[in-house]
Amino acid sequence: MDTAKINKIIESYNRDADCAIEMLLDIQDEFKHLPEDVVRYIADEIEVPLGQLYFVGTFYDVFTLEPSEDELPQKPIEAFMKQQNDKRIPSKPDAPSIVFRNMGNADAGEYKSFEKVLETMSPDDVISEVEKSGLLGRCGFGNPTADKWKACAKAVNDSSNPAYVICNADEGIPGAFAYKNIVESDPHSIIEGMLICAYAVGAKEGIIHIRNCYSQAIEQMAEAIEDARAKKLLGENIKGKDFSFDIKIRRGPGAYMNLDLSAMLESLQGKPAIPTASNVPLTEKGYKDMPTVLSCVETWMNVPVIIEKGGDAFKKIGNSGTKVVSLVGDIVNSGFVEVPLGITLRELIFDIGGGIPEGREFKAVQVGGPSGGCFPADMLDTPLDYAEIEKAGSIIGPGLIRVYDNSRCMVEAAKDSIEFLKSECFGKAAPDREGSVILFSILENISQGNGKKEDLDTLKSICETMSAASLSGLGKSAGNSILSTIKHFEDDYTGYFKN
Amino acid sequence: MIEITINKRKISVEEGTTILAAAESLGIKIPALCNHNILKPYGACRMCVVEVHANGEKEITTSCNYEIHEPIAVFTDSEEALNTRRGVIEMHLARWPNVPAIKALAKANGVDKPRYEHPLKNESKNACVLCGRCVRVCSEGIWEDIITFAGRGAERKVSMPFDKFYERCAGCGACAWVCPTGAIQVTNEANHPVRPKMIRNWGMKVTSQMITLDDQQCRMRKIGTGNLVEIMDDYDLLPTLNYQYGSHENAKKINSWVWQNEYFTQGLPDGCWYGCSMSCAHAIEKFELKTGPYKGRKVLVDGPEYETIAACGSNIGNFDPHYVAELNFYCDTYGIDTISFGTALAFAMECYENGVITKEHTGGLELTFGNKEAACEVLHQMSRGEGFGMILGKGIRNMKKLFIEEYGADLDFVEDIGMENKGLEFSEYVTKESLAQQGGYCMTNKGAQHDEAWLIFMDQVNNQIPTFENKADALHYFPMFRTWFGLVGLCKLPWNDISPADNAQTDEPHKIPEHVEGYCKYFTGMTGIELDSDKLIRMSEKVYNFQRVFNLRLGYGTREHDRVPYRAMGPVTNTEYESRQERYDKQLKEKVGIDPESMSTDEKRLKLREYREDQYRQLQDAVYKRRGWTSDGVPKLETLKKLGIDFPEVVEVVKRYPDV
Repeated sequence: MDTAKINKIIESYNRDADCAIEMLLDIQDEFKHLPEDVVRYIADEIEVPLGQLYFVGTFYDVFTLEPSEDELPQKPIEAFMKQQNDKRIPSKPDAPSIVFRNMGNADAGEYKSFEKVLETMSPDDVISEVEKSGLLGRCGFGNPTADKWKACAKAVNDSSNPAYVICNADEGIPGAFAYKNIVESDPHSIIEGMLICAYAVGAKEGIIHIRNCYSQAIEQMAEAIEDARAKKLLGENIKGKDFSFDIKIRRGPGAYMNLDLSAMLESLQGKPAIPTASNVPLTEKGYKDMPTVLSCVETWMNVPVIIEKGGDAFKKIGNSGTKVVSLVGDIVNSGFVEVPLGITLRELIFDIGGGIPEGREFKAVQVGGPSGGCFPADMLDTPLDYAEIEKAGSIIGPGLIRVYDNSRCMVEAAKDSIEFLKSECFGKAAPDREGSVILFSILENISQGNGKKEDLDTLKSICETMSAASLSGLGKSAGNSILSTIKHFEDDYTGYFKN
Repeated sequence: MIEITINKRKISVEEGTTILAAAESLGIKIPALCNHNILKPYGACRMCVVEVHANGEKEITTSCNYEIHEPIAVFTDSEEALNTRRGVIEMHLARWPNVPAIKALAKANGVDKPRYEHPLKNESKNACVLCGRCVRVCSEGIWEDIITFAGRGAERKVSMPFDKFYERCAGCGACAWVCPTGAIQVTNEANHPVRPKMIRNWGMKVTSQMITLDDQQCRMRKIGTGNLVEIMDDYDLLPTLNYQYGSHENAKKINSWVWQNEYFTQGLPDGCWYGCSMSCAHAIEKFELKTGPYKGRKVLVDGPEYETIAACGSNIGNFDPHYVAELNFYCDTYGIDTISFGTALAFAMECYENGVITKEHTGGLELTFGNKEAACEVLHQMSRGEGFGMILGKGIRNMKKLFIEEYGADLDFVEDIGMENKGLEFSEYVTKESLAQQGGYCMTNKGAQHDEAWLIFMDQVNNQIPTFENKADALHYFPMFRTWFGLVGLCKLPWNDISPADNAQTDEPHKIPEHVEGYCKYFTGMTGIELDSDKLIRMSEKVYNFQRVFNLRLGYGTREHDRVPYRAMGPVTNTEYESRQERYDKQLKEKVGIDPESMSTDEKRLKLREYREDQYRQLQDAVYKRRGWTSDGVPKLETLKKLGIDFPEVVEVVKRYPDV
């Protein structure tokens, strides 16, 4: 074992045990697997339990315990997602742009909104503007951003504990590259959004968690942070005021599980991304048990615009802003695009997405990725709006919109989704873990012609149990694809039943 | 307190209480598999779901990890909660249909045959159900993290790192104890105990007490025996300046919080015995030495424990924790006992301060109380066999002889303040107000140590043994009981440095009956020989009496050798008397029956001494009688016979003494 090489890796993280995953990522790069003696050495050196590193090594797909020159085996859904590639498709000509407003703009990074906040607004003013804007968290379950800020500010006030402001850019949906493109297009707006939040809630430390394999995004973000520090926009006594805040970059393994925020915080502490089970919100007890505001990269992009235009004006852009969505599946234009919230699914698929490829017809759209529900043609006028989509039986989630043409079987569609969720499940809680295994097995049984009518009731009942009893949002929403396809495409199921 | 309702019954709970705990206090049982009363809530099995109404909203949530922070209404058996719970139990039953714990939960909750086949069905009765109790007890309870989860989703399993035996596992068995299915079995019985289960069950019980009670009791896991510093100081029992006093204003500088917060580096497994759940050995890492051959080096200090803190701290007037640790390190490194070193140095310092010895004798060292640099230098000299260190290293008994015979010291003074018995230096408790502890130190076989009997609290603080007979009983039982630990090679700390929660309600709380029974179980489990507390004492009595005879054979072991240096009995000097005058005057009045009003300190001190020395003589009479010895402290023939150790060589030794 080349201890000098390994020491160098350990030292590059100041021996910080929180960075255990990053160290292992470097080891994986270096050795193409995690050699046992190296892992043992690191565990001793940084004083973390060997079991923790072993668990990490068996938990994330990026790690292998045996040497292998081959690419990691592809997952079923990845093959399907591959077609999307890393391509931005144009929105409607007059569509408002928030997230990608600075793409290719050399003037970005002026921090005018932050300066306005610093010079003219109190923390309460800032929170109240965000509240007026109606901004909802963009990549998870659409919780009001202002609620998080308020709760965190209160927790800081009550406890005088240090608070953290965290940005999640550890994208984990195979084939989706929205986070990557956002960071690469405008890192300064992310920093600015976090600065404004830090000012509002009284935080001094920020973390940006970026997927390890996005090396260009990491590089650009690092440059932007250095740039902001040079301009005294990050660091001690920013602009000579009694306000200090700085940001560091932490690299992540890229995991769908990180959509669960408490799980992501675990991974930031060098542990497997598994939700901590507590009803105490992260705004009170988050990163290192301290008050934390944690939002995805897209949410942060909106904050400077809210300050610039004012909360009321922001609210009038679409239904409170825009959403970056990825159009995939049986659609002419696949790729990612920023659209105003409130746009109908029909406009999204037919006007922007260019409709269904020649010779086929629209059958269904699954909104929200594998955790989302599938809607038939008569629901195409549903607006892309958090409340409306939830009412219709789905989530916007990370913004993955998957289109199915009339050659597709929706039992297969549901099976694909469950197969993905099964493999991405944390594994901690029984309903999340056993539920997805059982659902998949029943679906497979049906699609092999061995199902029976009562299976539909069983499926529904399992989905209900998961929805009520699961530990994570991912488990709670896992049944959406099944419930919606049984509701809207029951014929696809009964077609498999004999008699 | 927050008022909530559970199934419409009102209850007030402390904020942060979990629903599960609140329900339990009402006698409402909520099924749970992954929950365990000694572990933190985990929320994995999800069987404990209940319906909660809060702020006009209703949700189904797990109760084990739901902290109550506002008034809520809980329904443990609403239709929705029950349906959800059944759904979860059905999933378990489908995967592990033959595990008794799962079957019982299914039956109790009306779950029949699962409606589906589980593709990963495991028909073993002892299947692992992934509740995580073992992983958590290894981490939270034993602080080891040897057992871990591995893999994700359905691949999740319990494992050791790299799926093979991890050499750090000491086989403590805590994981097997918390396992609800028997998936973890202790199979490798290296020492071939006759009844392994008996040993394991008891060991696990102690572990559970450690995990749940230690934080409120002795904090052995966080600070170790050092927790005693402030307690001793509070009760005037912490030896300061060679046992002159029992407390000091600077004691706070070396108390347990200083060690816990500023010195001890936590999170290390126990350095004394892997797998021990008490883990009382604590260490300071990266400690930079200021003196001696390793000056400037960063080292690991194994300790300090209470005795070292008192011996190398308050007793020599050193209240600088750094130097306590420095002396601790060098004593360990040189192979010197910290107690004997500290007590001997305290004696030398008091001699120096009183002119018994001077710089001429010490080779220029200024041996005043509190001179920490000089303390280190003496220790280094001792290791090299040089200078005054060479003299100190021979111990108090030899120093007394030298000071009297060669340096012309006052015999009475030196005998009074030289804290040794049978050549062994006293350990670190002030015994002036505890007659029983004076006996505990000096009516011993191996000299003045607290390993045989530690009766101060029982005697002085709790007044549980007021009469001579009571004290004699204690001075029979405890030395025998504690000798037994040496006989079988077991650690004594889990006997009374942790007590069962209901110990105070037992007949003899000072003996900790449940733990005595536990040690009997260890013995029986290992050997197959039935043992109870009477038999246990009898075992020790044989050895204890044999040791006494051995002492006699070497010229020790009679009444005169059980003599107590007066410093351990009462105030030697007027300054000492006057520092606790109120207490001593009161005793003269109430116990001796004389009026101290018109007396000089000299007169009062001597009267008190007369009284206390007489008390000790009476105690000796009572103890020897109780132990079956003559009034000279020699085991009687009938005692030896009764114990079955009346071997000719033994009888020959005792026969030389009268009245046997």
